[in-house]
This record gives sequence, structure tokens and C-alpha cells, in this order.
Amino acid sequence: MTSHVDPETLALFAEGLLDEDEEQQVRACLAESEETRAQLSALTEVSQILAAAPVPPMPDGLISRIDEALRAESDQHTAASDDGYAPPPSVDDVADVVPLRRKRGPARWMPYLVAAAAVVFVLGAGAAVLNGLSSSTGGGDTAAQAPQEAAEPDTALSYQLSVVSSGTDYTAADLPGQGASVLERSVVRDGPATPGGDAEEAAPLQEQPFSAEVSSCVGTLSRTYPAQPVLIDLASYEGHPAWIMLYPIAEGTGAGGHELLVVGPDCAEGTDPAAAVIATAVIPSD
Amino acid sequence: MSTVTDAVQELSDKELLFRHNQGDKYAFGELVKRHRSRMWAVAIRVLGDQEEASDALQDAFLSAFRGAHRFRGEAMVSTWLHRIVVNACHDRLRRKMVRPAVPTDDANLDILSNDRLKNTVSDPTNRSDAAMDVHAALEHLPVEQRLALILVDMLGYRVDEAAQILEIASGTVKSRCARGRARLLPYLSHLRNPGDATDVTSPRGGGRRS
Repeated sequence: MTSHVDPETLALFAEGLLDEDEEQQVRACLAESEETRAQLSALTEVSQILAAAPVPPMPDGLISRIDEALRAESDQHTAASDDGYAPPPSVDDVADVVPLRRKRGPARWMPYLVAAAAVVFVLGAGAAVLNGLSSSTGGGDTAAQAPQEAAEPDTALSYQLSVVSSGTDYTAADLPGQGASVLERSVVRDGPATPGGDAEEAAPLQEQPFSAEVSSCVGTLSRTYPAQPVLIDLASYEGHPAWIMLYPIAEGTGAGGHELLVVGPDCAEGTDPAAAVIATAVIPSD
Repeated sequence: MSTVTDAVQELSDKELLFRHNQGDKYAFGELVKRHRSRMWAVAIRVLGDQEEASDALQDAFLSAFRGAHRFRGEAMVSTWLHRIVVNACHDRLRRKMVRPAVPTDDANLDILSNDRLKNTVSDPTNRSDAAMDVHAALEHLPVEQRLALILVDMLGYRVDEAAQILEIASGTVKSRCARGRARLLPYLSHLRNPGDATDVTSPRGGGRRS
């Protein structure tokens, strides 16, 4: 092992990834072997050859093809409220799409907010049934429809979890304050079923069903946030539908209080828990 | 309102994404305009085929469009976009591997690159020859090494940038690049300067793993 070093070792050497002993050996080889030196320079040339390879130009028409696909996508977004779901158009279908007139910001999201409100209304009227979730009721019909991420047995909901819909539009500036206020109005704050004495102006929030989507989202997040949320507010954040999840901060930290996560409703389908989180805040205990 | 289209060009990537999330119809288009040639470079180098790369690029922009609200403010928008493009390409590579239509042993290399040239590239200069040779050589690498080398050596990203895009440690980027270069050595020797055509032994591979 004095006169020959394999290319991989040399390449790792060049990146400074060898330990001291190995590095010494390579240095020795380089000092005495012309072939090793040539090989090291050949490796450097690999990088140069790669860097010099020209990028083939974008094919004609790709730019407009992508623009059209995006326009179709955005039209579909706007139209989605009409029939709930439209299948994605193929590229050919959209070839002669006319640019739509521009809509002002909130208009695009209104269909979703309206739809969300309708769901809340229907469910709220029918069922104030789910008063928090025990492991058995949660696992039964709702969680069963969720993607398998949610079905981790050890995340069974054996704790008190409240799902509410406060109607709050959370803002980045006032996340902790808004979170604290909703926490106040929900029953979780002082343990189950104690709405508190000072509830005159802020009525306790009505429980919402724990949907398969929410369950799935909790399952996804549990890969990053090992704790379980105590309160989920189906609300909006900066005007977009969002779920606000409140996690108790572990006793051990001495801090108490809650951690607040803002997640998008597509969190349910997400495979990357980190990507689902739009914003976070900490609500200190008082 | 009517000044929005002009103003959009002044905005940062993050502001554009934010506006897109608020329903601004022009914001995302501006982002695409800013980043598409860079993203094309990534896609064509990973996939090597114009059709595949075009499809991947379109997929990637569509999924960025749909998933924009998932963007987390602490990353750079361009890093996030790169990641989406890389993932779109990765998906396609994986699908291609399920139905292995691409012979990669040495005997077929020339046929392969000639085929590619005929079918997809009409560039009359032989610069694309080199590009295709390079791509054919890259196909000998495991995908992970290929991605790292494309980002660092071919596209000139810093190791830490590549690490963020690929969501791996910088050290891992370095070692993947190093192993990839060693493995490429025999396949690229014909592109080297003829002056120093020292005989280079073929890498045995499988040497070290850490």
C-alpha cells in the first residue's frame, strides 16, 4: 500500500474526508508515485469536464407550455368552488385558454372559506357530539379513513383533545395573543369541562368533529412533534384556511405554556411534516 | 391596482410567494420567469432527455404553485424550488428504473448517446456531443452521487447550498461528490486533454463506505 491508492480514496482525500492515518498514506503515495499524482489531477479534471459541459437550451415552446399549464391550474383554483373538484386539465385542453381578468386577493380564497363555513355549520348543528376524543372513538370511524401515516398505534388519542372553529383569522403579528385567547375560550385550559367563571364576553367554543384529515395531519406532525396537541382550531392564517395546533410545552422545560403551530389544510396529504408548518409561536403560561 | 404588474418585478422572491398565496395572479409567473432557466439546467442535467426534463420542469412548477403555502420562510425560495425540481426529476428517474429501458454497460454507451442525439438534439455543433457523453457517463452513478455532482461540479453550487437543496449534511455532499468523481474517471477519460493521457485504472468501487 505504498505505491497505489485507489481513485475513490484519492477523491476523498481531495475533499479532506480521510482520517489522519489514511491521509498520511496518500501523501506518501503522492510523493513517490507519478501515477498517483496523475490520477489526482485526472480527478480534478473530472470536475472541470463536468463544469464545461454545455447546458442544452430550453426547447422551443416550453416556456409557453409551462405558462399555460400554470394558468389552467390557477383557473381551476378559481373555479374549484363551483363543482367541488375538477380533474386536472391536460396540456392540450388548455392550449387556447384566454387569460382571465385579474381577481383581487381574497376573492380567490373565498370559495374555500365559504365551503369551510358551510361544513362547520352542518356539523355544528348535527353534532356537538364529540366532546374531546378518547382513544376508542377516535380510532374507530374517523381515523380509519386517514392515510396510514395517521394510523400509528402509539399515537392513539388517549388524551383530551378539543377541536374548535373559533373563526379567528390569525396573523403573524399576534399569533401568541390570538392563540391564548382561543385557548381561554376553549375547555382545555383548566382541564376538561371547566369553561371558567369569566366567560361572559367570550363564550366557550363549541367542539368540532375530529375529521380524518385533521387526524391524518396530527399523525404526520407526530413524526416531528412527539407531543400531541390539546387544541386544534380550524381557522385561518393571514386570510388562508389553516389549522392552528396547540401543543403543551413539556413540564420538564420549566416553561409551561403552549407551543402553537399553524399548518395548512393540505397537511393531511403531506408526507413531510416540516413542510406543513406555516408558522409557529409560543404562548407562555401566565 | 394597475401598477401591480410593474411592481411585481421589484419584489423579492419571498414577497412574490406571499402574494401568490394571497391570490395575486401575476406573482407566481414572475417567480417562474426568474428561476426557469436555472431550473431547466437542473432538470436537463439530471434527466439528460429534453422531453423528460420538460415534463419534470412543468410538474415541478405546478407542484410549487399548489404547494406554495407550504413554503417555510426560513429557507430561500430558490432553494425550495430547486428541491421541488430535484424531487420531480428523482420521481422520473425512479419510474424509469422500474422499466429499465436504458442499457448502461460500456458496449452500449456510444449507441445510446447517438440515439439520444438523433432523437432529441438538433444542435449541429459537437458541443452537445460532449454534453451527451457526460450525461451517458453520469448514468453509471447511483442517483445520489449523480445529484450531488450535478449540483456542485456541473452547476457550481456551493457544498452547503447543495446540502440544503438535497436536505443532507455537507459532509455527505462532499463524499458523494468524491465517490462520484472516482467512478466517472474511466468514462470521461476520452474527454480529457490528450496531452496527459496517463493510463488511469478503472475504479474498483465498493471500497470505502462511511
